[in-house]
Amino acid sequence: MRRCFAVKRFLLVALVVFLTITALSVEIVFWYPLSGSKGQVFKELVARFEKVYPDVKVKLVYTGKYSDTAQKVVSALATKSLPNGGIIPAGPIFTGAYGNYKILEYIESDSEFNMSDFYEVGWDYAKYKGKICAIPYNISTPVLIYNKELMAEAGLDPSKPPETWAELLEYAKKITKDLNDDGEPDVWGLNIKDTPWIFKAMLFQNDCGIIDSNTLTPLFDGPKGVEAATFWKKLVDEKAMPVGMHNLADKQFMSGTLGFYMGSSSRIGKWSGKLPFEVGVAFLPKMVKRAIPIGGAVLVLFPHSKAEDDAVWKLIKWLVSPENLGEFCIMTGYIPIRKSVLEVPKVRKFMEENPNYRVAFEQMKYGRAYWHFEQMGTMDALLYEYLDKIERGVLTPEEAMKEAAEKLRKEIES
Amino acid sequence: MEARKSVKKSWYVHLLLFTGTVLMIFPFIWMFLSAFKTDLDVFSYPPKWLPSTWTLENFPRVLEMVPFVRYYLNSIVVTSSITFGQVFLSILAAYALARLHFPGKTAVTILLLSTMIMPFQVTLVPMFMIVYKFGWIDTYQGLIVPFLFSGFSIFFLRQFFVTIPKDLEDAAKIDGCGYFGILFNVIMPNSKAPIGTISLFVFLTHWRSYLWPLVVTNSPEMRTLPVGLKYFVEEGGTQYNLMMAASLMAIIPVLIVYIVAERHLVKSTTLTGLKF
Repeated sequence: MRRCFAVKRFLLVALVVFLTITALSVEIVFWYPLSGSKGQVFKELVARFEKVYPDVKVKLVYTGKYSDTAQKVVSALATKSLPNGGIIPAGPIFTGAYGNYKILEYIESDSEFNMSDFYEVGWDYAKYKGKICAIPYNISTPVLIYNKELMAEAGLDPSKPPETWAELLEYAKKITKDLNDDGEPDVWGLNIKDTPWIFKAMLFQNDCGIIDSNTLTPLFDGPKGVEAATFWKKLVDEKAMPVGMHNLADKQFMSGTLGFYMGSSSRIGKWSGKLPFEVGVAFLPKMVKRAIPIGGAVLVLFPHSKAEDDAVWKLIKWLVSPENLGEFCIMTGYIPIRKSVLEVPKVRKFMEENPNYRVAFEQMKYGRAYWHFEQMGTMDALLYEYLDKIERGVLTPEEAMKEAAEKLRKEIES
Repeated sequence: MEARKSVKKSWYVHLLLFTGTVLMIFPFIWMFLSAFKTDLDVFSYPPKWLPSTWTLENFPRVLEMVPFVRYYLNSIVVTSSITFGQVFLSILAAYALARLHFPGKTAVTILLLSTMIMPFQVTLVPMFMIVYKFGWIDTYQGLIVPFLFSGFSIFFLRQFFVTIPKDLEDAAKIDGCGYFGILFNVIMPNSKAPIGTISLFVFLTHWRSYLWPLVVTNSPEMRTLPVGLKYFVEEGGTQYNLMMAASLMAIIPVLIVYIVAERHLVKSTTLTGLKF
């Protein structure tokens, strides 16, 4: 009899708990631009979150690639039909620029959230007009990936990748080879996938600012910027790098006809151990100092009701916890933006087993970023265009930098 | 002698046609073979023609990643509704603009033409706002209704309708036809070719439409095939084997329809001089 009573009481408690959870459960809509295997990893992480927090129901919406996602956000902003949150590229432009700094309130009021564990550069990447309005999440950095066989063939030591740009130029020249004597090299020393990104790395490394964050004045047309642009031209003139063939960089590297490749760290997982030659990964070479520009997308919160906002914060906090972030980075190849991730046993083991990743994970400490501003995309497009003009000899490096900066200035003023 | 000459001539023609066929069919063969390759095979260099091991696992992987069947059904519903609706409304509008007299006709025609020079990205946000006001986000209406009207289709048909001899119309009038009678009994039967062309054009445009369905829908239940296919394109390298498996699944039903209906299609080609 007593036993029966205990069972009844247990059932009653269970029912009350269940009803409370159902009554208090919140549904939030969360957008994400990650496709394919990366999208699957993210979906699994969120599914696990829902198990841990049964009171929050997350409706995930895939939003296409970065530019499509931006279109979707623009449309939603115009109709005030924004989701509760999401992984949004250029997030600060859609939050801070509209006066939405809600996430900062949560960061500051949540004593469990350790801001200083994040790399400072991550926060710079999440700012609009100097104020945090997002949390960095899927971040990549450019790395130097090299073909060890080609290095050895050119009489270089594959265990010693170039440390400086001067060394890189020297090594790359040795690798460049014309196999069929038609005057055009068939094997190239160096190629750069994303030219504006790497050029910005060069600027940072040459101690040259890119843009003054307060006044939004372009800074790359000064002597240090011109110096970097002149070096760029030298890479082409001395046949270390082909002219205007940057789109082919991936294919060249995969086919074994490229010594040094500069591009996103996301290539490490795609290539390490999967190509018929040995692949090495190194920090980007330095000029006067080391610096790595970071790129990617950020976690944002679009305010709705208090309960919903709380739920979004819960999800965001869960996603960037060292263990979960570590797992996300291991599975996708993105770079951890928290220092403590490197201490997570699983991540440690992963870095030991995949030394190539260690490079990318560890160079984060040299990361650099500028605050978001509306004309960021225009700036990259201009740099792309004018680097091409430098390579083809249409303009001198000095003329090109001046003209690009002038155009950007006009765009910002208008 | 003449017969031999023609055989010789046809030999050249056939070689040319054969080369053309191979060029056309190559991407399909590549897609077919890649759909059965493993992750490693698809990226191997030099490229491998045949998979080193034939694998079927890409297909369940695709189905696990996106609700493919649902996307397929949505694509069929949306594209066929748009094609039917847009072509029907365009016929009515084109007839009015080509044959009827009413004040402001030129102005309307010019307005229609001006919609053609507007890039889609410009109208995307305003269109989204309208659809949102109607409460059509994430619905079939939101996917279909904005495309029931098309300046291009109307103008295209109008240009043809004005060339149909007026005498035919007069004859129909004498026989007691009204506007609709003329449209259905005279204009439309004489315009099979342009109507067929524009239908095909509209169908293809919307079958592969990506940006609008992505922006206007949020739930997987409402999404269409191109959005699903895009899920396999990744930053930092696409999984081509999965993408090809998905593409193969996407075209097989269309291919089946084509093979079954081939005779009719060829017949209509010979009748109308239209190429499908």
